[in-house]
Amino acid sequence: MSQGQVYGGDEVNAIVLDPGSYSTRAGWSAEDCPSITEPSVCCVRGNSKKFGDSEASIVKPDKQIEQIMKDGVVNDFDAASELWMYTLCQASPHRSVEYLMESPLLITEQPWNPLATQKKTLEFGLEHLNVPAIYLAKSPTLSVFSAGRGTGLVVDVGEQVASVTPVLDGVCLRKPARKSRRAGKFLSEKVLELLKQKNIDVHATFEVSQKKPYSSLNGDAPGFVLRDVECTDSYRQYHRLKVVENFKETMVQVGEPNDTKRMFELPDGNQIELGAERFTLGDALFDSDLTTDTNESSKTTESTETKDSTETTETTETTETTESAESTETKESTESTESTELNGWSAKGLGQLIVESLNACDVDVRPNLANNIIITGGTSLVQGFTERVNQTLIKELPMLKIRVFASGNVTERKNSAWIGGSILSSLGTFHQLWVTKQEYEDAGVEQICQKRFR
Amino acid sequence: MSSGIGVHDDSLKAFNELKLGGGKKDSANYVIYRINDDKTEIIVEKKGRAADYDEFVELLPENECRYACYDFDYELAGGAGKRAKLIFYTWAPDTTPIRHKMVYASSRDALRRALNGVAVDIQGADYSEVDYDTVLSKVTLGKS
Ligand SMILES: Nc1ncnc2c1ncn2[C@@H]1O[C@H](COP(=O)(O)OP(=O)(O)OP(=O)(O)O)[C@@H](O)[C@H]1O
Ligand SMILES: [Mg+2]
Repeated sequence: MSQGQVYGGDEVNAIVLDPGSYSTRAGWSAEDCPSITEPSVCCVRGNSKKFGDSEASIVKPDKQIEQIMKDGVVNDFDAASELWMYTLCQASPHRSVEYLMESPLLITEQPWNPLATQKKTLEFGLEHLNVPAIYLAKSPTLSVFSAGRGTGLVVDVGEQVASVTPVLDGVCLRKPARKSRRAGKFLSEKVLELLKQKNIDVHATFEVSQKKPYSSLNGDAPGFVLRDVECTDSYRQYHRLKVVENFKETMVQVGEPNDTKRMFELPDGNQIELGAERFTLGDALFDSDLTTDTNESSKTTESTETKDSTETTETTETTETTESAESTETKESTESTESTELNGWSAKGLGQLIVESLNACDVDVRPNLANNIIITGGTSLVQGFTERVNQTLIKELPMLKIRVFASGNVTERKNSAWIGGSILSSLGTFHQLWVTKQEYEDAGVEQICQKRFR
Repeated sequence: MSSGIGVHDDSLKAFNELKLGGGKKDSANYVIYRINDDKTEIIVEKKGRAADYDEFVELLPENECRYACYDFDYELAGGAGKRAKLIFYTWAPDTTPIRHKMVYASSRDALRRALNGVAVDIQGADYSEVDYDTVLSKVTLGKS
């Protein structure tokens, strides 16, 4: 396909990639949901790196399973680019790279994605994969648009990050945005802690060769037989965590605690029945841990500064310029992990995070944001989550009218950014926004990032 | 970031007529816009004169997205006379399929930026957000 063909038609066949820290999603524009979803991990054996859910499920004595993302951004770019290539090829007809090379590529990113990663991402697309055109789309903007709004407060609770991002007329505001690690991984760790306290061992499915239902909580003797499998710790941990995630998805709830019992059977036959404790687990997403909130002082200064960048709601141009200056600063100060810990990570619970973010916005835009709170991300599927957000905000912000929107469709909730990107990139008119290879070669990666994607 | 969907000339013309009509008896007091079927441009779907505000609101479809402008009259408090303000609506009911919501939300800016003289912006996901009292309170606040 020549460039003329790519841009000639009304409908564009672009490929859309949404790299999350839990899963990496890919598929074609105009499709309803990503056709391929793979775990964001890399399976390492010696010098070989392999990807995909099925690869991660085949045990080998020396196979390590490593995370690709840390704090919601790429940690190991080489591994990430291989994972992306793998996932994109899985979504391509006949798994062909040639086919991909003919299609524009839209990649979603979080507003705090570092400049260095953006540059590598453009290189990945336009040089390594060799696509004719590329676009980096901000996840919160895609989520807010997919909810039918131009303006809203996006609350995205995924695996490694829970983030709150105000979006005004399609532009993400960085300074009043807030993020914490109280998301899916954090919740899984809480579940694991509780099980440990109760002396419950979690065995992965692959570790168990025979099981008989029993309940360690009732004092029954276990009746399972373990398989003698040689594997690495990271492999074992990864698969035990899968069990914990299933447990979490079935058991955890938020809201007014009650003693309604629910049961989950672990792969070794241990039947765990819990009541009110299921709510304690869920509360952890909303509780604030003030003792570890090292960030308090830096945040106060941040919210006073915010004034200038949020007042420019009419002229988004100005907002973007202000923000690009700010983000360059952030980039420089994130060179060492030490300062990242202090920079912008809150230990507050989700309700507080939302309140802080709103209060850091200009007073004029608060009512509109509070009235358009958009909930997205896998962890928001925890039972009672949306209601809890709603109630917390009504209580904390009595002066504002609160309206929370969360799609009732599970696929949409987990994939709002991907779906938004897929619809946008299917439009013929979107061609004006693609960065073509020509433009990239002429202007250079630095310029393209600064002008188009900061 | 926007969809790149453009604005048809007639869409601006209809807005200017609305603005200049300034409440004259037989001139239009509303314009409703939609995106054409090819998804390339924002066009006028309907324009005219609604007898009252509720009649205008009924023109917003229950399960489809639209943009609209309305010349909103209201009485000042304490009998200090009448005022009129131009209001811009982004109408996207929560029940609309995600595809439509995405296309409308990502194209809004192109139209909105082309319209000079809008006093208040209303984003509506259900009828309660566009009802007379809600809009009146935003109009009298002078803020969107
Ligand atoms: N029904 C459910 N109940 C509770 N948690 C769930 C449910 N479904 C998925 N999750 C959790 O959601 C998380 C994944 O969410 P999501 O796909 O939004 O993350 P991501 O986009 O890959 O990561 P991030 O946004 O943090 O980079 C996992 O922790 C998963 O266990
Ligand atoms: Mg995510």
